[in-house]
Order: sequence, then C-alpha cells, then structure tokens
Amino acid sequence: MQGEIYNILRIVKRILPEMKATVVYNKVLSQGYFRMRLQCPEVSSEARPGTFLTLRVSELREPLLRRPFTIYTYDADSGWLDIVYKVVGVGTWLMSEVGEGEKLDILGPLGNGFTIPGNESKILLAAGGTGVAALYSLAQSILAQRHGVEITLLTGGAGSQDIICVDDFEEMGVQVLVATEDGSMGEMGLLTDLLGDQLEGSLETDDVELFSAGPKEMLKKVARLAEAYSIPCTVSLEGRMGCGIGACLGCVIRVFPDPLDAVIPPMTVYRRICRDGPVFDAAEIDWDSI
Amino acid sequence: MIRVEEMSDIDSVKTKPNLEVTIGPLELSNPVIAASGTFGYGLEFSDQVDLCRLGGLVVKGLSLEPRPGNPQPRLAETTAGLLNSIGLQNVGVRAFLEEKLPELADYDCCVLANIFGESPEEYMRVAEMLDGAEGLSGLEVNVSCPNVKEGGAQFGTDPQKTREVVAGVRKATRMPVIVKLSPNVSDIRPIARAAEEAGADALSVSNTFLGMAIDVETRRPRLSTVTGGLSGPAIKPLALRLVWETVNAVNIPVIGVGGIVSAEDALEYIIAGAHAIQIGTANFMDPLACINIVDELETYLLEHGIQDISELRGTLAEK
Ligand SMILES: Cc1cc2nc3c(=O)[nH]c(=O)nc-3n(C[C@H](O)[C@H](O)[C@H](O)COP(=O)(O)OP(=O)(O)OC[C@H]3O[C@@H](n4cnc5c(N)ncnc54)[C@H](O)[C@@H]3O)c2cc1C
Ligand SMILES: Cc1cc2nc3c(=O)[nH]c(=O)nc-3n(C[C@H](O)[C@H](O)[C@H](O)COP(=O)(O)O)c2cc1C
Ligand code: FES
Repeated sequence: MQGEIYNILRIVKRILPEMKATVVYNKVLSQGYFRMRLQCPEVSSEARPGTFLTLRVSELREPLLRRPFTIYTYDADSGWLDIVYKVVGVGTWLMSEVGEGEKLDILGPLGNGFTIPGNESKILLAAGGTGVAALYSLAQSILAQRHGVEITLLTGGAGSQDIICVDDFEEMGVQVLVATEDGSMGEMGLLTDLLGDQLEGSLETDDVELFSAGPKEMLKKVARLAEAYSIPCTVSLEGRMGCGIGACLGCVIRVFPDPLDAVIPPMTVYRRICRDGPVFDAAEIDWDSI
Repeated sequence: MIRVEEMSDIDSVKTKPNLEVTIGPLELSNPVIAASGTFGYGLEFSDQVDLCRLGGLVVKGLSLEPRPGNPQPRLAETTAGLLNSIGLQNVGVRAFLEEKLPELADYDCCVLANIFGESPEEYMRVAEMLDGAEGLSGLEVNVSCPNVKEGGAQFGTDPQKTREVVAGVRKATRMPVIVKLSPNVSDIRPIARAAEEAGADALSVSNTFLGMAIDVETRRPRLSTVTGGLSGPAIKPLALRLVWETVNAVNIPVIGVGGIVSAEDALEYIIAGAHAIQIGTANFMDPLACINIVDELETYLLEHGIQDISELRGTLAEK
C-alpha cells in the first residue's frame, strides 16, 4: 500500500511541472509534414526569429533524447507558438499522433536567433525542406520593421509534397520561387540551381543579403555561391543534439579560429550549434569539414 | 518547486528526512550529483536548475591545455542509450580557473573538477593548478575515458598505472580525491583497490561502456570515431553490478553512476552500497532530472518512514 501511494505521488509529481505546453492543433500540411500549435506563454513571450525549442516526445525512455524544432512563428500576446515538422523517425512519428489538448514538455526558446538585417534593399531566403521553418518569422520581423523591403523565398525539395508553407509567405507579400527535383512543382532541379540563376540574373548584388536554412550539405553549396557572388550570407544549422543547452558539446560545428586569438599551430575550433548558434555567419563555418 | 508545495501536507505530518551524506572528507546536502560531461561547467544549466539544490556537480573533464575534441558525428542514440565520442573537448584548466569557476562560486554548490591527462605528470600538473581553488570542493580523476587514446584508457585498465596516477594526484593536492573508474575491464576490483591504496578518498563507478552503432543504409559507423562510450538507462544493470562488486572490495565510499533516471534507479545503487549517485544522460532528457530525483528520494523516505538516507545504504537483502 505504502509503495502504491509512493508510486502515485511520484507520477503526479513528475508529470505536473514538466507538461508545460498544451497542443492547440496538430494538422497535416502535406504528406508527412505537420504544423503543431502549442499554447505556452512562457516560451512564446521570449521567442525570437531563428530560435528553437526542444520537445520531450515521450514520457517513457524511447526515444531517449529531446527533439529540437525551430519556432516557425509565435504570438506573444496570445501565448502560442507553432512548429512545422516532417516525420522522419520514431520521435516525429510519435509527435504526429499527438492530439488536441494533450500536454507536451517543451524547453525554450533556445539558441541565438537571427539578427534582423540593416538596410539591404533586397533579401533572399533560401530554404531546403523543413528549413523553411527557420525563415518565416524572420521574414515577418523584417517586414514589420522595414515596410516595402523586397523579400524573395527560394524553396526546394524532392517533390511538390516537400514544398510547404508557401502560402504563408505569399500572404505577407514575399515572392516565392520553387524548385523540385522531380519537376512536380516550380522549376525542375535543386534549390541551389535556382539560387545560382537568381544571383546570376541580378546584376546588382551589392545590397542583397542572403539567409538560408536546411540540410548541411545544401547550406554548404549555398555558402559557396554567396562567397562567389560576394554577398553576405547567414545560415541556420541543424545538428544531432544531446542537451540542446550548450552543456554536452555533442552538436558542434567546425569554425575558423578567431584571427585575434590565433595560436600557432592553428587549433581546430568547434562551436555549439545549440548555444552559439543555430544562426551563424556562413563565412565563419569551415564548410570543408562537412 | 511546485511539487514541494504539493508535498507540504505530507511534510507537516512527518518530519523531513535527512538526505545529507558524507563522502570521505566531503559533506553533501543530498546524494544527487550531476555527472561530468553532461552538465557542462554547471553554468549552462543555471537558467533551468537551482544549482544550490544539487548535492554537487562535476564539471566537464579538464586537461592542462584546451582540447578541440573529435569531428562530427559525436552522438548516436541507441535503444535506451546514448553513444558519445565528444573527445574530451574542454577549455583547459587555466580558462576554467579564470572564467568558469569564479562564476560558479556565486552558487552555494559543491563543485568537483573532473580531470584527465596524457601522462601521470599531466594529471599531477592539473591537480596542482586546481589545488585550493576558491569555490572548488574536490577533484574527480578520470582514469577511464574510452574515447581518446591519450584520454586515460591505458591508466584505468591497469591497476599499476591507476596506482601511479592516483598517487601522483594525491601528492599534488590537499583536496578530496575521487577516482572515476572504467567499466571496460574484466575485473574492476584490483583497480578499485589500487586506487584506494594510492590514496583515493572515494570512487565513482563508472564511466561509459565502450560500444558502437552502424547505419545500415550507408554502412558507416554512426560515430566519427567508430566506437564511443555508451550511457543512459541501457547501462544501469551493468554499472550496478560493478558498484556492488566495488563496494564489497574496498573500504572507501563509492558513488554509483550509470543510467539513473529516477529515484528508483538511485535507490538501487544506494541499497547496493553506494554513498551517493551521479546523474548523466538523464539531464539531457530533462534538465530538472537531478532536482526531481532529490524530491523523489525525499518522498520515498517519507513514505517508508526512513529518517536518514544512510539507513538504506548497503541493505541489500540476502534473497
Ligand atoms: C536547431 C534545430 C532545428 C530543427 N528544426 C526542425 C524543424 O523546424 N522541423 C523539422 O521537421 N525538423 C527540424 N529539425 C530536425 C529534427 O530535430 C529531427 O528531424 C528530429 O529530431 C528527428 O527525430 P526522429 O526521432 O523522428 O528521427 P530519428 O529516428 O532520430 O532519425 C531519423 C532519421 O533522421 C536523421 N536525423 C534526425 N535528426 C537529424 C538532424 N538533426 N539532422 C540530420 N539528420 C537527422 C537520422 O540520422 C535518421 O536517419 C531541427 C533540428 C535542429 C538541430
Ligand atoms: C556527452 C557525455 C560526455 C561525457 N564526458 C565525460 C567527461 O568529460 N569525463 C568523465 O569522467 N565522464 C564523462 N562522461 C561520462 C558520464 O559522466 C557518466 O559517467 C556516464 O554518462 C554514465 O552515466 P549516465 O548513464 O547517467 O549518463 C560523459 C558522458 C556523456 C554522455
Ligand atoms: S546539444 Fe549539447 S552542446 Fe549542443
């Protein structure tokens, strides 16, 4: 009997304080892609473009680790925030099964987020797959601060089912260009082909600024293009995470050492995607290490 | 926090049990310690966790010079476990003393420095530099990191080498010395005895178990170093066995480490004879894991009418 009471108390105690966010909805966007709205004033009031949260998918031990997701958009006044995710494994599959009203343990906002750019007349956003999630609230913030700035979103994926959230951008007045590998939507080809064409086509690249998010291999190509055309480029990186708060050093990315504290011979420098990032200046990253 | 208020009805009925423990020269407010490498330098968790409520925290392993660590990928999740090959990335002992420790001193928390070296001399140097540092309560000597060749695997798998390292550190410091053993040995007892004889005040058992995982699509190993250290719930029965064996082999206190995510897990170690326990991977699942376990231990003691956690230690029934 004593043991039973202890168990009940233990379960109540464990679950209460951790279940912070309530699921408002969890709806299908396209095959395998979902958008989840979470009511969580503590996190949405602190959110900024480019920050992320980690979510404990299961109270059990499978999957063991929390899963990181970019905060797609948020409304601090109403206390909600949205994430957009693709089902790729057991964690995201369990998430897709979560229903309205259920509670989830979330931790955030985490990471540095974007710095809203200064006076560029043209902003290019380049998103691969769910990378688009990192760029929507950035576009919202830029437009809120600087009316009339021209923003173009280039987004790419394997097929039309991988092109998500386009309507949200268009409603804001962002021009959207799409590339799919199978040609089922927009141009046939890779996002980076589309970006190359854009950069080639715009004669005046002086006041263009590029922001990109997606798989690392794609970002590597994007960064190389930006370098070739000498335009400033900011990337939001993803990586396998342990803690998500800068403690385990599991998520690091190799960067060039700061020339100011250069040691001889030069030391390899790793920075934490979760705490020093996920947003980095593309010129900082040692892309050859990827 | 919320939960403390919820428990107040019970608290008022019975007297608060005592969670304080003594580990050789160290006195801790409770037996729950955050494990090295999973809690950064403590500061990373200070937004989420009231560090003062921890029994103690062990910082990321420190070496004489800063170390960059291993290439990616460094982490791979396995069934109920986590493989890591961080490669002992750390800021080095000087930066720790100048930048991290002064900030940690703001918290009333028992801070232990985990140290390692490539030679017995380096272990000694690091220990000397940390000796008497303000805000530091003791050292944990990692003779057992399985990731990096120089990281100490050669010391922790051999009683003679373990003795040499521990004796050196013992000479270099007046601080409490805890030796953290490797599980990757055929018999842990001779190594535990060697550490005890060389002057260790306590032993942590254990570090991560060597393991590996393969991506069958690419046929590549999931870690850049092919093999790495396994932690998390998957290793608990293995580490528990080692703790029980060690407790029966030495006369100094043993700290149980491996796969603890709940108070039940912690209690198993204490019943097997551990004076305290460390929480590693569970901090990643829930940053409040340590604090939750402290609260749950208190509840358990209340519910079982046990006044002092030490009453439970080493009470494994015969069958
Ligand atoms: C800062 C950050 C922000 C993110 N934002 C989003 C987002 O907004 N929307 C979204 O859908 N996803 C996002 N991700 C990726 C997301 O976290 C993973 O897809 C998710 O953790 C997969 O969990 P799972 O259990 O379903 O898959 P698992 O079973 O863990 O893995 C399934 C497969 O996916 C691969 N994989 C898993 N995680 C990653 C990763 N981080 N990088 C590369 N490959 C991976 C695995 O290697 C495996 O092949 C983000 C990741 C980070 C680090
Ligand atoms: C990411 C990571 C880094 C670690 N780094 C260290 C380290 O620097 N020094 C050390 O002695 N142990 C290190 N460990 C081992 C842990 O302190 C602990 O012994 C081990 O993880 C088993 O406990 P757990 O199952 O509770 O995680 C590390 C473990 C992990 C998961
Ligand atoms: S995930 Fe732990 S340091 Fe980034």
